[in-house]
Amino acid sequence: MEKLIEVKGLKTYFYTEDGVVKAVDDVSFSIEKGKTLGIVGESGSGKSITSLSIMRLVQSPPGKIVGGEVLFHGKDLLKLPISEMRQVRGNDIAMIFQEPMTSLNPVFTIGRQIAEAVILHQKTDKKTAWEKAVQMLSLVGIPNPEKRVKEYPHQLSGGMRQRVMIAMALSCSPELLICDEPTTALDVTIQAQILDLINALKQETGAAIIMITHALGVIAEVADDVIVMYCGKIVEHAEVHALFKNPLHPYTEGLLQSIPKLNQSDDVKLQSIPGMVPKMTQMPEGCPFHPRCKYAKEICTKRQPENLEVDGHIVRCLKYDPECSELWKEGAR
Amino acid sequence: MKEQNKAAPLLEVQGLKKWFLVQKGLFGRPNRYVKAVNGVDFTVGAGETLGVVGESGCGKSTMGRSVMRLIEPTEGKIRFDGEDFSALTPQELRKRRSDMQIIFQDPFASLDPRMTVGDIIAEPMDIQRLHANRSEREDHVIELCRLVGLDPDYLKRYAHEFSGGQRQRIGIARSLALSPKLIVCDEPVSALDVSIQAQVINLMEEIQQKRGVAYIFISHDLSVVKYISDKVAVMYLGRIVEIAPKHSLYDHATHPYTQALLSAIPIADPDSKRRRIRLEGDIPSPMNLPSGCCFHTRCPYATPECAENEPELKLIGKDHYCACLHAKSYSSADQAEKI
Amino acid sequence: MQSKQEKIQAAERAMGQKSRSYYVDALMRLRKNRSAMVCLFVIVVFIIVAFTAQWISPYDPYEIDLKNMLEGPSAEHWMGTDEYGRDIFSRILYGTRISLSVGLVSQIISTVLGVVLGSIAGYYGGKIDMLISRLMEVFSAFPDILFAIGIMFVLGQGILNIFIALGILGWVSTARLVRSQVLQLKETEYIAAAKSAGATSFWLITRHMIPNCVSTIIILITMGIPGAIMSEASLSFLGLGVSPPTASWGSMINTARIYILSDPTYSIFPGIAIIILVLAFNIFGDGLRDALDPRLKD
Repeated sequence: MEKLIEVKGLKTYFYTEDGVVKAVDDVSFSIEKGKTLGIVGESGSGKSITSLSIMRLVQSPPGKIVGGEVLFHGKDLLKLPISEMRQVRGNDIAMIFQEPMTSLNPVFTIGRQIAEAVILHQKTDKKTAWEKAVQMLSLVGIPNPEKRVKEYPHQLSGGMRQRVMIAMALSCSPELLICDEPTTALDVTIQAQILDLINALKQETGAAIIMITHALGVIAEVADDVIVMYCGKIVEHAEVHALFKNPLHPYTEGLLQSIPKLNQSDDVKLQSIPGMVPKMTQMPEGCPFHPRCKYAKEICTKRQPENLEVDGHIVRCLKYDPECSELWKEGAR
Repeated sequence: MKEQNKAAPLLEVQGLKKWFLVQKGLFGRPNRYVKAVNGVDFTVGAGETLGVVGESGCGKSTMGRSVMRLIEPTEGKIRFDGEDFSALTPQELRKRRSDMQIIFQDPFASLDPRMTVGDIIAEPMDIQRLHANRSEREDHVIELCRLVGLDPDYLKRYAHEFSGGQRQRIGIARSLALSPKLIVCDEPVSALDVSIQAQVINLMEEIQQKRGVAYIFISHDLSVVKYISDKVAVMYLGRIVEIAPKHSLYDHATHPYTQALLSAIPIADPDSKRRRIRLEGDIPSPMNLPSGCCFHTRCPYATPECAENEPELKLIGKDHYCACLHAKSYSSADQAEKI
Repeated sequence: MQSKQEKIQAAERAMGQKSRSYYVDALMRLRKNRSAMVCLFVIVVFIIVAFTAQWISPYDPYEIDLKNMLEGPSAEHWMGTDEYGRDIFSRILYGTRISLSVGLVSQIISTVLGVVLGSIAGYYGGKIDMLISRLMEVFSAFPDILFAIGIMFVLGQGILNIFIALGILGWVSTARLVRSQVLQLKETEYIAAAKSAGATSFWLITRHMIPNCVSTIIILITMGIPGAIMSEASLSFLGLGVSPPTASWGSMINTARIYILSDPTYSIFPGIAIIILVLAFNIFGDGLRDALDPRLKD
């Protein structure tokens, strides 16, 4: 399959008063057409900054993309002049945010906001744009779109607003849709509706999706491939079934064990990952996860792990490094 | 797990209502209310955990605070530890508050930014004048720190220097300062990262085992509630629609809303295939409650009589109550009869 | 490149220090603000002058010397003399006392009034809140200076009455701000936590509400002082302020008005003194606000 977007060695740093924060550090991945890539990580893992870097929407200062390439159809987005980048945003790549209320302008009707996006990118006249807005609203499952299109954001519920955001994002038929925690602010029953909608629309439009979330359940429902991020780095990248069945990185393993599951018996105790995410300005030496890792050996405090390919996963852990994996075998003896 | 003395539960709530006045009726028009909690009955035994689940706006937080009389309930009886809690005068209430404490959702808003961690944890003791001298107070604070896994060296610091998980530990330590018998936990892990959630949940279980405290655990996350609770209540629009011991509830979910909630949780297993019950539309406003069964507007099984008759909680299994006109009782051997 | 390294080093130094309280933090931010520090220095100089006026002023400010009336600046009289031959420089130094004390005392009066009434209104709400809020509206319905003139007419001239007039004038804005802050704080979860431990209203107000309002109050005081200094000058200019022969910048300008053509420097020097002091307080107040409440800046 053709690679729609390919990110290579992306680095986004923040220059803050407390020092340099490597929010995204050497991140590489690619997505094929019609696929969904899930990015999981806790707060501060750099998952949102990765997507903002792709869109080149990182606040600067203090943020700066200091290295890497984002190839979209073979074209490096990071090198595009800003006027061309504006054309890419919304037209080729669209984004949905967590809080739909702040992403919608409260003083305009939702119809006008969708129509404006259409006019801006597709150079159509007002009437077609308005018709398109109505059509998009019905596509995302909003009842009475002809009536709703004249309403203001505050008249809609949270779930409806998120639908409007999706309608707006899809109005220019983008090839890539980036969803940044699209359901975190929503209730479970509404979240299920929105996830179903995103999955259905993907089938219909053939767009690729990047789904950013901290909820592993959401990832399992929608993603084809999964990236697990920790402290700005990808620690594991695998196909979704492989990742959930056979997590290789200790962090992924810990995450999966730390969520309570409905189909679990009472005897299974929750395993938590001890400690907490290190401050981004005070990264530990060696592997950033070693202070919390139950498998950590002395070498982990000294050596930075590299990306390794193991069983079809890409994993950043010394346990799988042929040069030092004997250390763990000895431990097992 | 915990055998209860059935005769006298620690907390017994009957017909609890909290209506907020939103508009004074003028010229003979009736007052308009938000019926946040609209007639709720339940009991909590000593050392037991009651999980309360529901979506935003279902009144679960208001219910938690009304039980504690942090906001005065409009109506209803609260019996706590053998006395009528709802009839206490404000002076009596202030003394008796030691036995019922609360943990909040937002670890950032629940700690006073101008106080050191030590003072925050000790505040309830200071209010109740628990300790006569400083060293006794100090020892108590350090003991609480150890219990919740905080380094006592941090006591002189301010809360803004801590991460969400540590702040939640501070909040838990504060709630334990008066050795309460019941703690209302209002979404205590919802704002935390996944790996930290598990730490806090395990800590709360550990504390329950050590101290025998009972929890009312309010959350929107059914998996977490299942993990920590003995008994679970499902709330919708200010009412309990189903309440049962957790296994009965999760294995024999009877109310259509409970079923829909259960089927809506994303499961962290890409292979799981479930029958989906999708609810249409949004939760109605608690200002204009639907007639009859408050769920009939979204219920896939609603019949005309659901719009007319208000269902009462009825017994359908062992300790299993469900407020649905169409709910049938089951015997424990049967599998769930899903309407 | 170098600035980046400096920043990192500064960050490392900051990190090395353990637990900083909110106020230590604010102080560090304030110290980085150069213009605010310059203004603080100016204010301190004025305060020193106010305390030491009797020793540092070259002449007695009340000594009449009819031989040297209305003279321009000279080596003997740096800023010249007034219509009675009194040394203007010495009178300006003494005038610092009036301006600063009016600024401080009137702010103390208005802050005490404002904090007490504002927190009562915000905390108890209901009828009490309504009463106090209406009172605030009545007070703010009059133009400030007219109101002050009215009070001064009733009370008569004199420094004490200026304190009272300006104090009464200033409490409304303080009370408004404190009331709205208390309303917000009332809903916070740490208040709920204290309540659930059985805290009384007195405890909640003194332990949580007021400490959390302190930064706002400090800002209000610094921002209110220049206003009070200006008001005193205006009242004195209108002849309603301190009674002669007491030296006050406003009354000096008032008398100088008559001689503006023959002796322009007479009115200019007290004017400059007012400008410098007011400006210093304003800029320092801005810096203090940025330091105490970094969110307001962005």
